[in-house]
Amino acid sequence: MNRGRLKLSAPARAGLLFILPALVYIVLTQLLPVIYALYVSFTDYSPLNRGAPKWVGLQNYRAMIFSREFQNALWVTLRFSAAVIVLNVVISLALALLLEGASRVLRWLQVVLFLPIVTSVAAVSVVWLLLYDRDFGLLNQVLNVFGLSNVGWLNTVAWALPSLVIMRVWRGAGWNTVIYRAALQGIPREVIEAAKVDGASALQLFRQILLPLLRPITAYIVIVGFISTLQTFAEIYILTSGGPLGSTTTVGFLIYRQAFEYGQLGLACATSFVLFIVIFALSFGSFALARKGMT
Amino acid sequence: MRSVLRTALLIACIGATALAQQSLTVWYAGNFQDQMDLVNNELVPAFEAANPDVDVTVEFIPWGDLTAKLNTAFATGTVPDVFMHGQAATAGLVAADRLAPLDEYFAGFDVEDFGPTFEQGAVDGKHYLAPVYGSGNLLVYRTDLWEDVGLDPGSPPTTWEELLDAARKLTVRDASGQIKRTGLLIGSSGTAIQQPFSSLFWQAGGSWFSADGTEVTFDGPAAVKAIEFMQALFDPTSGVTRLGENPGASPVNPLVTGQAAMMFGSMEMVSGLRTTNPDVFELLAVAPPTRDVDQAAFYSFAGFFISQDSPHKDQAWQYISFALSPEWLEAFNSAAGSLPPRSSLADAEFLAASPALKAYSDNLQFAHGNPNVAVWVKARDITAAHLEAAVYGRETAEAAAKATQQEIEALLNP
Repeated sequence: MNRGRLKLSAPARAGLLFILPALVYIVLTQLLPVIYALYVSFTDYSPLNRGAPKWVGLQNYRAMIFSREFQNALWVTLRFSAAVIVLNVVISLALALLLEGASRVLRWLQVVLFLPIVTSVAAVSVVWLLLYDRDFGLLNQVLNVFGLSNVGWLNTVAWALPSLVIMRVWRGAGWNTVIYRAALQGIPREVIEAAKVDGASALQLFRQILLPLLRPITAYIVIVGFISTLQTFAEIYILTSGGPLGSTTTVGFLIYRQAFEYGQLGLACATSFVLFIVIFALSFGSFALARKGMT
Repeated sequence: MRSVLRTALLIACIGATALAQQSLTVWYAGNFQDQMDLVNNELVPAFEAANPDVDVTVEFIPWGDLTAKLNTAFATGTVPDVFMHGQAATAGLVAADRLAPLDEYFAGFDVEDFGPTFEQGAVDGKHYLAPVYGSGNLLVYRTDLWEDVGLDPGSPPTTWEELLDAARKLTVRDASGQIKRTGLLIGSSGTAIQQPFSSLFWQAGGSWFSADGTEVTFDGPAAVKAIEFMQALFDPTSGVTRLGENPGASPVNPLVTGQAAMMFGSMEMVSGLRTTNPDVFELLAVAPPTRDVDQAAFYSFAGFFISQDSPHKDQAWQYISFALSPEWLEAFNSAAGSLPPRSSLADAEFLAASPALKAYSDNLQFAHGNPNVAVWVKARDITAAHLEAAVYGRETAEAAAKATQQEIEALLNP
């Protein structure tokens, strides 16, 4: 009469007991809030109002998808994300290759490159705010030395988003360089030596040998890049507050405004889930492309 | 046995005292150090000494975090008994049934001394706000730069035309035509553009809403005229300020660096310069608002509200009435250099000592506050977005006024 009862061995029961605290933690602090947020996304809910969230079905999703604010924010986010990821991959791969053949002294550069990622985003953003200052910023002082006029880095529609991209690439390049360096060191020397013996040029070696072998790690960098850049908020909040003319209003910043400035938690949750779908689709697409290339 | 009984009696006495004491939580908005020191080290101890049955716990919430913290407190049922907020938040909080009306308490209070600021926190005839401090958005200018270009610092502009003329004289451009010194610095987005616009809009006779707050009355000649004037200020060739400015984000005040000759500034900004740059502070003057069909300026007041859910409303009022006494209000406003809401404090010592600060008190008679409607924050941001589009040349003044009207109407009547 043991039908329906799962019999666990003593080690399995012990294992379950060991993972129970972590499981409870994950369910309570991560899974349940996500499920609740999904429910709230179908409701009209402001914490200011008394009573439970009011069910409105797909109204928040419809309102959001057809709003110009959201469409603009999504477009800005995608442009920002694509620019950061492409530049990050190119620059960090180039740096990794440079450091590969560098002297031991130059390899200390790796530590310097790594520093931005371990520094607080808020602190780094304030430093860049000063660097980008239209009148007194270091970047414009340098331009002045070459006889060029001041640029409104964060003050003009043309430059605000590229300025954020530059800062974000600077922050992420060191981390990705370290990852590429590890991947390069994992490539068997004999493969490279064999290609050289066969007369492959440096360019051929890079295109035919290194790039294909680095494809899995590039896919990892792209996927993690999408997950991270599509949620960008802090640097936007500090450097541009989404302006000028909404040219740096990302979806993450829009969610903040909906939730904390206007108290529209239902709409903010709906926007968050659409952002989640975008992140999932892009990450999954990148992964599928990388797998296809590998096979 | 006797010692056991004595100890039990002592514990019972201590317990009874603790039970008799009411705990009161008060949230102050802002985290200005001198104000925090005053409240923590002087005001609260003085109140507790005068009211031994009340135990006050004070928290200071930075303005930027206030809405998020309050929303969390409302959602979790942990709202403080007393909290501070801006006057424009009143209608939204009342609509959500979060505030206790204070009229019963005000009945025995010298409300006349608070003048128009008292009415800023009224909704449907009931009063909810006990004003604590305020500020205005007035024209602040560097007298030395005025003299340099041959202007008389003693005769500030009284009309829009005079204001634009003075700003043009003070504007300095380089050989390529780029502005090196703004004649009149104005931010081009958010509240940095909306607040100066508000003053101009009211001066032109405009208003966002009907008196009862049920109708949007934004679009009209006043809005178009004020937006066109803003466009003239930002004009790339003949204008006096640059696009993309955000004076609040500047690491050093542009009046200090000489990057701006004039700007619309708050009393806190001027007071801050008194502390950080006393030499520049001495060179500053503050002008009365200009006049079009009316003379008006944006002023805002923050004050105490009592939570509708507070079980200690009487104790909450005890604290508020104590903190609103002329002595404590003067001390509190003197600490931050802000504007006391009581007319009897118009000549307070810290104001009388500085003509620049006194100007904010003298011009309180022209004060206009943000409309007290539940949708104000969103309506404000809609206005700012269309103003920004207008000064960037993306929308005409007429189109901006019309779009603002339509979007706020949609907000008011979803």
